[in-house]
Amino acid sequence: MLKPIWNALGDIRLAVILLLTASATLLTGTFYAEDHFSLFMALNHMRIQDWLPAQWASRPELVWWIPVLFAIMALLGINTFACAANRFLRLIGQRRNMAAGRFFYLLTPSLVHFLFITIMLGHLATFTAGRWQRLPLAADSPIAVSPEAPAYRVAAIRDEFYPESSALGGRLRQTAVALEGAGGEALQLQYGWPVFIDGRFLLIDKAPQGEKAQKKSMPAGSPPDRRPGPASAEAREASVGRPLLMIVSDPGLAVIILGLTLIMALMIGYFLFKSKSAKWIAAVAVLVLLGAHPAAAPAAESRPEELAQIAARIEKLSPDPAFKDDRYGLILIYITPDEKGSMVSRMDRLPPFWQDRARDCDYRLAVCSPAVRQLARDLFDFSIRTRDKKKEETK
Amino acid sequence: MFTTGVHACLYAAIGLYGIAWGLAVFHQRRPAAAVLAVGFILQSLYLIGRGWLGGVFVVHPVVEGPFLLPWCLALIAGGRFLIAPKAPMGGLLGLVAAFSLFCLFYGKGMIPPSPERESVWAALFFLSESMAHALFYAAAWMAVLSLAGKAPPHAYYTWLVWGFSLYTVAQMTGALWCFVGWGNTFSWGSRHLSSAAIWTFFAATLHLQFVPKWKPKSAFLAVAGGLLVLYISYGNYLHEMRHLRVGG
Repeated sequence: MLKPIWNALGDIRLAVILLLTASATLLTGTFYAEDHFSLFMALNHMRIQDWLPAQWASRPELVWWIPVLFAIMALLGINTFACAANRFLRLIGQRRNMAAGRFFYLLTPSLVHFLFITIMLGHLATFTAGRWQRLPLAADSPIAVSPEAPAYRVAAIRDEFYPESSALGGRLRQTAVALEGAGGEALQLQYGWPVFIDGRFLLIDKAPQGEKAQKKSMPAGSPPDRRPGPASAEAREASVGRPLLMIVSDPGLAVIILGLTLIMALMIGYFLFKSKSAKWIAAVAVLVLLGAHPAAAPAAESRPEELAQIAARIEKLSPDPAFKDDRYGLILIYITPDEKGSMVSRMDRLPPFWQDRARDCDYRLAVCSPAVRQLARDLFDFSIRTRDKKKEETK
Repeated sequence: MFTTGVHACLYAAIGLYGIAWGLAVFHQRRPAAAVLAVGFILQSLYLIGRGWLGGVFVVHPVVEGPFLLPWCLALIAGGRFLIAPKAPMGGLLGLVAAFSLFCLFYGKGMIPPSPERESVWAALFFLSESMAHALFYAAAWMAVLSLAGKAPPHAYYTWLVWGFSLYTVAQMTGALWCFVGWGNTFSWGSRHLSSAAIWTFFAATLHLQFVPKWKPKSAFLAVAGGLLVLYISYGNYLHEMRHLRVGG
């Protein structure tokens, strides 16, 4: 009873459907967020459980997609967990038969999926347990970072502007805020350079009017009228805005950033390694199959059903599209030199299906060590001997 | 910088990209690659010059999407030629030429940067995002060729994989930039939501490869993904054309 439910939850088709639904919901949200900027921006500094009920009560037609998105992401998390856990357990079962490096390589996609779940949980922690406090900044004013810690005092606020001689003249370049603790300890804050104290991040934020001034529409007039020059005092004031101190407590931050960094590193490492190694791994499998099977011999022309089976087995062995090169389609690397004239040099004697397939492929003799080449030769000879033996027994 | 405000560099690069495309269409690969390289150098100089548009160096105009995207596509096309000299170049160079043409009509000035925009994370975000977009467009084009039977069935997959990987890098750098600038790793604004929509869409497209019956449909999704990126990113660029610009 439970197994079918578990299998259904871990079905990759469900993952595709959920991801596409999540994408459609996010895209829908894009339109709402664009038309109601301040409504959704408020959610950046509020917990979802404080924001959503109030908005749901007053304007459900604007916010309906947020609970839908949370539901889809929850289902996606469950699906991802079931899918990755199945794969992980299968790999653990095969652990003894493979080298540590190969085991870790195969484990990477599962790790990436577990990390994806962790990141989603990190976001959930941020949305439900984050705290954002905004305080006005004024010289000599006290700042209480947390109830337990002693207060800081704003020692100085210093604005830095672009040089008057430049086209950006008079516009704000940076603001430095010096904080001084009760014990004389000094902290320096700048835009884009937060400080971490007492488990909280301190950032400088700007009051909304500054942002509007930065993004105001192009003024009317011909282009030369709009040419740069030192900004007016009004523009200068607008570009400065009113600096605010933001105190952020985000329990999901470390999980999100660490998770994203690891996912990024694992994905890039996996694909880099895959593009180099997959061709070898799959090629050996294909070599063994072709070598061990009469398909390599001209006599195989009369056995199309077996060829179809081989095709299916190859597809199973190398479902990895990285094995395919977009220049040539499928690359098959063979290790045993084709001295006796078989699979590579006598393709014209293959059945039509294989001839069609071979047309898209590029066959190359692998560059490998003599030991590997000997191993491939032994495997090939062994399979030929086995075939001949079977033929004799049949006779 | 001696190329600051010298739009001739950009115009010459656009012209050269067009010529390179024409040569590639007529199977003149080596000359096409040489012309592409010259165009790429000129556009690189133009992009660096954009940093001084305001009279002092500012990073943001260098990595502004409409100007950076053709550069990324040209870099990819050049890299591909070096790795696979016999591979067809026409499609990629057509994309380079088409996207660079948009720069002709786009505002050449810079949007005055807010202090939060002058973060190294912002530069890394725009760089990785543009490179990912370029790979998504290349994947969409290869998918069109696959659907038309003019390329192997899954020729677009490698492009998608690398586009998605770089887009994940963009998600990480974007999250960091957003946090150090505004105190959130995810903002409930249209920019972040559309970015997440693109990420989930391509995640679905990549997962489609593992569903044998649905696998043939993934080419359609790759094309749809390219169109989605085009709609979202160029929608933003057109919107940004209304912003106040200085220099250029």
